Amino acid sequence: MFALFVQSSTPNTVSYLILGYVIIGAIGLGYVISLVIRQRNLKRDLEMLRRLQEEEKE
Amino acid sequence: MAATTTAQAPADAQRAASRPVGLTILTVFTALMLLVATYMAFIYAPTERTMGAVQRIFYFHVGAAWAGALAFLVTAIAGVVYLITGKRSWDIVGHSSVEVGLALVTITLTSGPIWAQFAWGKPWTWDPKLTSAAVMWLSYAAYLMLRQGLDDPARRARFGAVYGIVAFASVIMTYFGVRFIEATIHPVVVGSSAGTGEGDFGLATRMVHAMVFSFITFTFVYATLLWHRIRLERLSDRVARLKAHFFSQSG
Amino acid sequence: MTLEAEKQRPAIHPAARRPTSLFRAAAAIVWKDLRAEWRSKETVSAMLVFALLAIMVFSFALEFDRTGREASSAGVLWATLVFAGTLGLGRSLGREKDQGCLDGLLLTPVDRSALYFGKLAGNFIFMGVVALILLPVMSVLFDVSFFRPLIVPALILGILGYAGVGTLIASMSIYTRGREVLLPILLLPIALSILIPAVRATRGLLEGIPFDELLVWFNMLAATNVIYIALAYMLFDFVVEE
Repeated sequence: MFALFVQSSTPNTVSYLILGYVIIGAIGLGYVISLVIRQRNLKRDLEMLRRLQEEEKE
Repeated sequence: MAATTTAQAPADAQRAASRPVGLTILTVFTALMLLVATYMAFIYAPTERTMGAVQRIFYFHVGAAWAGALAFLVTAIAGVVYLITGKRSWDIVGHSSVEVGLALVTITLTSGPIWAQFAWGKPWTWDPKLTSAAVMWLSYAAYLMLRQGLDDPARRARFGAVYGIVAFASVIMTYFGVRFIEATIHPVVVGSSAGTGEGDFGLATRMVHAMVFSFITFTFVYATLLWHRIRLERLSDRVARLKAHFFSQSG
Repeated sequence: MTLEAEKQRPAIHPAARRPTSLFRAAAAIVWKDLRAEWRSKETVSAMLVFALLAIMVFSFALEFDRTGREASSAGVLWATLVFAGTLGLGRSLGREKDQGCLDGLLLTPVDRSALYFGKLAGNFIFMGVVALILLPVMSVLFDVSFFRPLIVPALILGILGYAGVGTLIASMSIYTRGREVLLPILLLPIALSILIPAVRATRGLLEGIPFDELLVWFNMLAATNVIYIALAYMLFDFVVEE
């Protein structure tokens, strides 16, 4: 696979490429994780509120 | 009043818990597309002759830029519709779209300088495209700060809509205004006849395929993230409602 | 809510509903602001002192050499004007809200856009006064003559556009927590599309570039003005709505 990147006349810029995609991936993943965490927290709040409400009724 | 809300609450919670089938399908599909897009960017497309492998950054860089701009367009439209209808759901769309758009533009703004460091020998120039991308990022970061600084939900929604519209106009003007007057050194990646003029890279057919596929993929990425983000906001609304209800009962 | 208020309003003399009343109401608001300012001299003096300080900071921060002087002094002029303008904008709308004047003005039967245009004109005049004082001061300090006839339309268009969009943004920022901090954050990215052509036009004039070549910048300034002021005119109602 790497033979494809490195050709005689073209400069070897694979390290730049990898750095770029690592950063792209990190930002994308970071945002998805932030969504997941926020959702989990909200679900926990929802669950707690429901439990409190049921206790109130009893 | 109390009876209806307590009867509603379990149904509400149930709806919140179950993810719609459409969203699950869309999420899986988008993940698959991302895999294919990565394959196309890394292996399917040939290596560019003068720049080498680093040119492959372009596929995701440009895709994310397009989807980010689309996100902000959606915010502007949602703002107009909100101001006409006053429906909270449009405010949610506008707000969510800004957040997703900011994430996408962040990808563009960080991947670009890495390429530029090699191609131009410096990570940043005040080229029209770069300037407007930076302004775009700052404007929408300001949008989120504006919302954060307001407590009244109705006012937050109205001001968000107004600012979303004005910010979009300003980005358009910064971009087109400067672009048509000054020559840009930023390569025209799409919409150029291949191989003409300086700064053009003459994308080979396979490169065009990879680029087009990246555009489509990032459109799906945007749509998927937006849907998830909208659901998150709805959930947050529900929790806030329940909280208010609960505290008014016990207090 | 608005309907209720509509009903409770006393009967309005038909003359007050005539189209000229927009202009007259806006003029009344400008007149009120100008008189208040004449008495206190609070806003303009604050803007002016700030502007002079900014110029001092710039002249120490930037090493002015002979060749780059024209280019950088246009930038310094606009950066100073913009920052001083932010002070003025925050003040002119913040004061209305703090003293409850805004609510009072909104209760009157005049069109809300009269309030917008009145405030816009007031801010335009304040910034214009600051600019008029800055020009000779900067000409002396930087040894660059700002007195060229075409600098007048450049200044008018730039300040008008900045005040036009600034009045809209400031009327939102006054409702936020920490509004003094938020106003520049909200305004500066939006104002950049005015600032860029304004700086380019001014710099071109100072460098003695013929007007034909600078026309694009003037056109862009004019277009930006039209778009921003039209947008603000349409959106202002939603901002002040209760």
